[in-house]
Amino acid sequence: MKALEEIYGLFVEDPWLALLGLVALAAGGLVARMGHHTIGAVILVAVIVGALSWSVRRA
Amino acid sequence: MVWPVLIAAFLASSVEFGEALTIVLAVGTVRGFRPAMKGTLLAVLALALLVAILGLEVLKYVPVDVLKGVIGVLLLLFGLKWIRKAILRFSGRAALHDEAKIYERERNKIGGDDVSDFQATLTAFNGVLLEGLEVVVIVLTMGSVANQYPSAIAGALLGLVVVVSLGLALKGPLTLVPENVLKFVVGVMLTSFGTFWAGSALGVHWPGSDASLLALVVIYLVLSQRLVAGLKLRDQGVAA
Repeated sequence: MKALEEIYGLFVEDPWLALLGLVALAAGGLVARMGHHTIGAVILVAVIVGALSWSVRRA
Repeated sequence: MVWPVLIAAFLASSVEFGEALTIVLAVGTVRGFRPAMKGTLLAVLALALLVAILGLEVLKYVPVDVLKGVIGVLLLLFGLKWIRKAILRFSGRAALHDEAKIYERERNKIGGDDVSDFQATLTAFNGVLLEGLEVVVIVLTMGSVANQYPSAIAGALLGLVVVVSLGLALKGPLTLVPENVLKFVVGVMLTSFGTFWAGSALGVHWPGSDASLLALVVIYLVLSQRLVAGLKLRDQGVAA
């Protein structure tokens, strides 16, 4: 359990930012699977940019 | 020796070696070159074992896209954590909003030993393994299409020599850059690589292929700088 916590801590400091990063990947991937591969890239980057901005502003 | 195959393999593999070098240099400069080299050597060993055991069938058994996705997600999470810390540190946000004790805690978390040897080794390992696999793909693809494996291998080896020489030349000057600035840049690099690899694995199309990595680096750098400036302005307004 402690090992898991340590591994989690290696990659996550703000859980909401990490979650939104994964949401960005899911959204970009989903749009890409629908056939809009470049729009998927734009959505992926846009959500990450938004998530990071929101995360540091609320810190 | 078929020169077009050699040159094509050299150019393509140099891009991949260059990407691996970026990660190894970044990690090595921030945490020290011992863990970075350990990760690099372990990755080279893993690759050599894979290729030695599986031979030309390596690509059938190793799901490069899945590997790219997993490593991409890990790098993205790792990079976002670093960028966030760097933005908070450069904007002085923690100091203005919290008491001195909290500021000290944040500062220690950000500037202290927050990057362990294990993290450094793991990051270098991931980067080198993935890029190394891509070089294997390049050599196998170009070698098999033209049936010229020696030329493709020679091209890739030449690329390796050039990129490693470049790395050795850059290692010294990089140590002159302030550590905090380096950590900022490393966070941006890891986030860019993570976004690129994880996105690619999910089927996203990056315009300009590998060149869009540079665009991602610029986007994240500009965003970080704007966020630092914005937070400083906002906190100055609150203080006034």
